[in-house]
Amino acid sequence: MSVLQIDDLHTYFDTESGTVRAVEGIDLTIEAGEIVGLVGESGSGKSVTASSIMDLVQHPGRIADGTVRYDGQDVLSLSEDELAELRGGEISMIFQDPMDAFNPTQTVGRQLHDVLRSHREGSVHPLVRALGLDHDADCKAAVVEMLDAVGIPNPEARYSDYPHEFSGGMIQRAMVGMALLCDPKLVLADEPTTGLDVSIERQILGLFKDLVEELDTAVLWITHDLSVVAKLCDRVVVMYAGKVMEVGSTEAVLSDPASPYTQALLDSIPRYDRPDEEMYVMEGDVPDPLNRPDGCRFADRCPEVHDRCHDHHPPRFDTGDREVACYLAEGDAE
Amino acid sequence: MSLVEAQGLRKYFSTGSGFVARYFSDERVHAVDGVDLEIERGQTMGLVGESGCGKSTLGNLLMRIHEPTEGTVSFGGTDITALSGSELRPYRSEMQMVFQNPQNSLNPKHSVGKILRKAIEFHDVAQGDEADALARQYLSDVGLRPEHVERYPHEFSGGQQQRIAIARALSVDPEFIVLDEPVSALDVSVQAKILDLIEELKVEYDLTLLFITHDLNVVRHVCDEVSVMYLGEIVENAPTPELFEDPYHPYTRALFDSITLPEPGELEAGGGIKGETPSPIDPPSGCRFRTRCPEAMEECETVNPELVERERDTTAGTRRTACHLYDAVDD
Amino acid sequence: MSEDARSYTNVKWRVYRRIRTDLIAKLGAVIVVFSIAMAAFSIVDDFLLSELVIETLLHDPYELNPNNRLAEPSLAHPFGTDEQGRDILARVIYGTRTSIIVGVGSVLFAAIIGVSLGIVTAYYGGLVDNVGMRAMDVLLAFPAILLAIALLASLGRGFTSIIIALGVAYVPSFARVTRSKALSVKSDEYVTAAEVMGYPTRDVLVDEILPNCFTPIIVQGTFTLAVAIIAEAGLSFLGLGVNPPTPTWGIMLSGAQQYITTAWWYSLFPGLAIMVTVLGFNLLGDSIRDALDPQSGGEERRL
Repeated sequence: MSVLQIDDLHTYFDTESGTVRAVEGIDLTIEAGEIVGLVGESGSGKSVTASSIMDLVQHPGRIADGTVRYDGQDVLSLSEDELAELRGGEISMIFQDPMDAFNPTQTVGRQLHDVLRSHREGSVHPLVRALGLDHDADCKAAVVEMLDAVGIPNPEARYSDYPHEFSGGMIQRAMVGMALLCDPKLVLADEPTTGLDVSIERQILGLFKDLVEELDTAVLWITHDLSVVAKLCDRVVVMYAGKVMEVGSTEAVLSDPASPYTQALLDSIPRYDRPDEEMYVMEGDVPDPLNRPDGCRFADRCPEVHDRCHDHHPPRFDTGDREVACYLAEGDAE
Repeated sequence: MSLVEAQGLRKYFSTGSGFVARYFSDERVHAVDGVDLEIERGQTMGLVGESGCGKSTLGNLLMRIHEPTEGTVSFGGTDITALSGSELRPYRSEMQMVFQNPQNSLNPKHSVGKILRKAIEFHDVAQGDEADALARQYLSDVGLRPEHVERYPHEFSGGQQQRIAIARALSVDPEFIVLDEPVSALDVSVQAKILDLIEELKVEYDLTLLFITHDLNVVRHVCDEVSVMYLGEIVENAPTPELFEDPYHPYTRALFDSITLPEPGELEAGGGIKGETPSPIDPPSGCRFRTRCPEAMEECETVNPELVERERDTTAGTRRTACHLYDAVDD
Repeated sequence: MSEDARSYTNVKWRVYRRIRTDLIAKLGAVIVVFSIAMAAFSIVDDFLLSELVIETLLHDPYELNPNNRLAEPSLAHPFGTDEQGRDILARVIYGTRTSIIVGVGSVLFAAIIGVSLGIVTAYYGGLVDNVGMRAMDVLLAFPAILLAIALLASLGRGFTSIIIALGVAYVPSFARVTRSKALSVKSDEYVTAAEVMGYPTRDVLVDEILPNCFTPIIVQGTFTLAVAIIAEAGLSFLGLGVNPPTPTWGIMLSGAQQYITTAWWYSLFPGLAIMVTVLGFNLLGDSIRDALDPQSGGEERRL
């Protein structure tokens, strides 16, 4: 059974000027131990998809249709308490800005300790926690071990440092440590390396990949950066304007894109190793989310557009190593 | 003669914000620490480095947004660090800047027309209706519609806002523009468009550019010459093709190793730079990169290598590099 | 997109919408508009028409009538009369203008000085900031009302003095609110862009920074107005307010003191007037703050 299975997810936002269909029919499965990249530009709906998975869509957003199954159970029908339990333990999240995730008034070690402790023994009375009576040597040892595993030098000492005493790279490592501490089955990572320097990003990607492989964790890695996907993910889902354009193994999709959108996206990335190739410049803009075309979402900007593209958004054709939402792939469909 | 020239530029910031710290503490961040830089007329100079290396501070020093702690900046032969506020004003229209966050670099209370007209009229490029026509002209030059002058910044997407910011910089007819991470906050498809626009305008308006960025892929495509910064110093300076062909400085090489491309595959082990950048409050003695350098020698601990022309044994050619691995070329 | 974006960012539009849709906000707005209308009416009526309108509709608020002292509320005198036989309803209406004039006047005084100070200290920082803000701390160290009493003692009585006295007392709150907003605005890139353009500092302060600091200033102004109205009533009650016979709610309350057991209406109605007006400004302040704060509003969010 898949760790995560999303079927036909629709998430809408009801605004004054109309309904914004942020996500329109996403299907996605993640198996144990698999790292799946969810790629898209701003407004593609990738972050909304992530918050829909945890049923965290904020008002005025709503999940209009579809199911999200985690380990076979329907997440969207769970109660708040059941969800909270899932979020802390079996599903964990990594954010772009770790400073948002850490409480600035408590030491990093202490916060990791609390996460682990409440995961192991259930919730603790706030007073007990405030007085520090819940301190557990076992938990502390496990936290120090994790800080060491994510490559924080001198973990014993760093245990009692506050978040602001960590550098950007180090706090992101601690965040990775916190996410993996309770041995989660699924990690949702929302652009966790976006603000970091390439050299630090590289260190964290390497470390994350090793740890996840060791723990056999399923990962959904949300990013706008195809180079990160290339090095990290087993499979990739390319989103555009609320729709999935192409899904398949990273190897297949990135080395030989079938969707003109994926191709255009790849071609617009400047590459130092191809100085003489012009960057591809996509025509026009991302369609207005309130007024999207009826046909293929990418039709207006697509270099290979046909008449029929304007009528209906193409279904996803299964071509063996991937699924592509483009009529060009129809002939290859099995 | 070069258009912009920095000599011995230093900028130290006090660390504390409190009264005592500000006036009595000598703990200071060495943001820019002895930089010489020359930008030729018509050239696009790239300034690269990781966050905290001082590249943005250097850009601000050239614009005289920050007052340098030491050193001089000259523009077209005039030392602008010595000028007073009103003496500086004519130079303001010669040197402009484009910032990283487009949504933050346009005043949300001003319409696009007002933003542009204000600059045009202040520097007396044109007045009244003529200024208005010019504002519309610049908007269409950057790929927007002239009637967009009526609108407010929040009505535009990030890429369009960056176009407006570019139009504002152009509107006073400058010779030199500092672009501080102009595409880092944008999506790749938008990034390609803006880079294209910058290239186009550079030719059309005969501009000299300083392109500050952390992205070496972008540098390869837009810059004629590159300066690599590390902890407040320029460690290497070379024409772009030569630098990418054969980086001299170990830091440049490490930086190149950590570039990721959208090509499926494993991260090569050993690529990239080990550890983190040391604190700019108390930078290492000698060469600043020696604490992370795979080829550090004894000499590196005591003597900070100067950025001078150096010759490399293995390949031909001389380039400006601050590293003891190479012999300095005597004139 | 433009319509949607406008409703999200335009201050006036969002406040207007809030008032249209939220009952509490509507109530606050109605009270505030009503009190301002009453104040305007009494000013026009008193100084231009010599109490003509109010005399026709009710009674002359200044007219003594010893035969009708402390009359209970009746059709002729809906709020009753005071110890000199003057109509309380007419005096409550006339009292509005003292509250509103002193409230608005002192808030304007405080805002002009406080906002300028806040923007200048934030922009220059360093020594200017230290000196300016320490001066504000000194002012803040005194309770506002005590500070106002001390100032009134040296300035003498009258409208101008009370406006200045209260205004000075409220300067620090405006200075602080403006400074903290201006500090964040100052680091926005459009301010740097303005400096790069070479715009003079005065222009950067007034045209670039100030318009982006208005939101918290408006909220602060509405709340301070409510506080100033109470303070004015308090000062009048203590006999430090404007000169009698100008009707003010504070003076009325002070006169009603000794009759509180025998003539309940005399203290009740001026008291109610103060309460309702202050409540009105507070409700409006609350809703303006909620409408302008994207964190707490929550009804519209940009994707």
